[in-house]
Amino acid sequence: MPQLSYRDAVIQALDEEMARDPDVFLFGQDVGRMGGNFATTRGLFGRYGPDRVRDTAISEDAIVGAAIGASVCGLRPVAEIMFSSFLGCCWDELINHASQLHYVSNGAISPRLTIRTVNVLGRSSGCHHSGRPEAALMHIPGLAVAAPADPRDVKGLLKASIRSDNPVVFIENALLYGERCEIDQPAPDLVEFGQARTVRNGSDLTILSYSGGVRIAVAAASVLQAQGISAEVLDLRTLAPLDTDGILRSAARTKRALVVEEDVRTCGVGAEIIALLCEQVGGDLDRPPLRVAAADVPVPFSPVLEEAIAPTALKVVLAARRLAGEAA
Amino acid sequence: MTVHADAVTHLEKQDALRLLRMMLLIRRFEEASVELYQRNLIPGFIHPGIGEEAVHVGVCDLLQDGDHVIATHRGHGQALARGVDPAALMAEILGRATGTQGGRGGSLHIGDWKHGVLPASPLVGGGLGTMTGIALAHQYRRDRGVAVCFFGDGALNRGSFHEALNMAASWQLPILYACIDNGWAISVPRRASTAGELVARAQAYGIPGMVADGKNVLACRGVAESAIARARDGGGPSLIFFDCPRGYGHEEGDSQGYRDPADIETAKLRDPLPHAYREFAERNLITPAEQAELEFQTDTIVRSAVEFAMSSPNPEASTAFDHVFPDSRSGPSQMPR
Repeated sequence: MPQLSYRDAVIQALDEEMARDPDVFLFGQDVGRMGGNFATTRGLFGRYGPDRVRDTAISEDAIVGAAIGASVCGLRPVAEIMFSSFLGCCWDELINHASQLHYVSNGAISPRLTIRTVNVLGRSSGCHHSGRPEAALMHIPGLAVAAPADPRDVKGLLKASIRSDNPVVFIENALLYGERCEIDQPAPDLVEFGQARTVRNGSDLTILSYSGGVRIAVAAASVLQAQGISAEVLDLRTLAPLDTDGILRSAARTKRALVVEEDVRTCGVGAEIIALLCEQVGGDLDRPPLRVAAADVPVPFSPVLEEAIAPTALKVVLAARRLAGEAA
Repeated sequence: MTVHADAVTHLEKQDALRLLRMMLLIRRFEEASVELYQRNLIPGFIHPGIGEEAVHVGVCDLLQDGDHVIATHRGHGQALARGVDPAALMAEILGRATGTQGGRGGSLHIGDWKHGVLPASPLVGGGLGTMTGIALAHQYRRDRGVAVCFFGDGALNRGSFHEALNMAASWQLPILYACIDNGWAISVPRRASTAGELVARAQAYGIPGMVADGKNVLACRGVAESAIARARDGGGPSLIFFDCPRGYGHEEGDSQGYRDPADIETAKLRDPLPHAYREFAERNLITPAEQAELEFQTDTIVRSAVEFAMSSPNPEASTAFDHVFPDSRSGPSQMPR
């Protein structure tokens, strides 16, 4: 059966959109001849040439600023910020420009850029290469944020991001690039934003996650199954917009909800989802929702220390058992 | 390359009248906005561009349809000089529904995309990256369009300045970086904040760097002409410093207690409008009767702009939720309010 890797999904999405639309072009550090720091633009420089696959200086601020400017003129730039930690260097362009130009122009301007970037947690990358800025990004009105876990979703969502007129931050996950899925049927060409995907059906609790957290949630769900606890796993796929209907539907059915996130706990994705649950279906839940998140500390280098602060399948199992009313 | 340009020598009567008409419109418009502000009719705050008219007009007079500009936080004049309707501009400054952006931007974010004016970023230096990207789009499409990024000398020390100029120079992008050097970043004089010679900044990127008398419209136009032609012809970016000492406060209401009063008076005396009148009269390009007619016409335009703005409705409160995302399919339509 044909397989698709998370990395090849990125390459295929970029390739197909560049072939389809001459206004799509790529730029960023090492995206050209080298084919990307994570080999996610491999082959594209040779196919499309230096005008459409541009290596840039180490200038995150100018990369995102230029992507905004090119996009408001109607082009569809895909800018790469090599690690999501580096978004700190272009934060102004994201929070004050990309997200606001449509609004402040009263709808006259559409900054239709896509910014691809990469989360890393669990590879001893140190605190400046282990960014997980998704909660901060979804906090910004006017930015769309995708954080897929599955290769099919990577392809469909990246293509949808490029075609969308919205500014999109597309968060990939370095630990998933080698992940493969079997393509048992033709993958959908585009995946809609704001539609969570049920990874696994269950009836005792709902585990909600995205990006690298989905793999942890699925592993925990297998362990829980063996212990007689049936966990539903929902992959949010996009964080802005969030599939609020899908989240509420599943949680209302299982009456127990647990969020797994690789971003830190305070003001995180889980905080937002749990607030949503409390506001909308709080009285219908059997137990207060829980979250398993990274601890509120910078990411340490040592694998032992890093594992201590990160969400793990074991931590998810323990939280799920508590939620299900079992003795941990 | 450093050029201290003198006024261009040849000028037709119609050119002189066009330049004067726009400078006068900006001056009277700004005087009207100051008056409205002092009467508490303008929400927020304004940064009038009185004394900068020669730069705004000298540069924008050279632009064509399809070119792009971003204004500074002192940007009313730059927008007017690109042809933005004074009535819609004044309505925007008053926050009215009929404003250029329906009251979402106000004075600090002035723009009008149908005239190629990107909403201003009053984050000092905030437009440098975006305008560099617009220049990239012109190059990508080979449409001979040009981007002009107005910014103040305060932006010279932002990281965005270095990143943008390096990118534009590396890729030979069609852009003019137009620095309106008024000598002050609110209360901090440039000499206390900015190292090195200004034009050396251009030399560092291997692009032309020029200084123009920012109070002389012909000098401004003359220097900008070569830079814009160069950009249009694929010759890459330029950096021009328009020497334009600030005669008035940073914003309306700033009494400038931090400055030597004599310095303020000197700056005010270098007024580009009387200078242009004098020079054009000496060249027999304008008569006193034509000057009176110009003043009368301008007053009429500004008065009707103010009347239009003042009689325009406020935006409907419900529209505050519109235009967050261009594409509602991937926007927040499912977010409960």
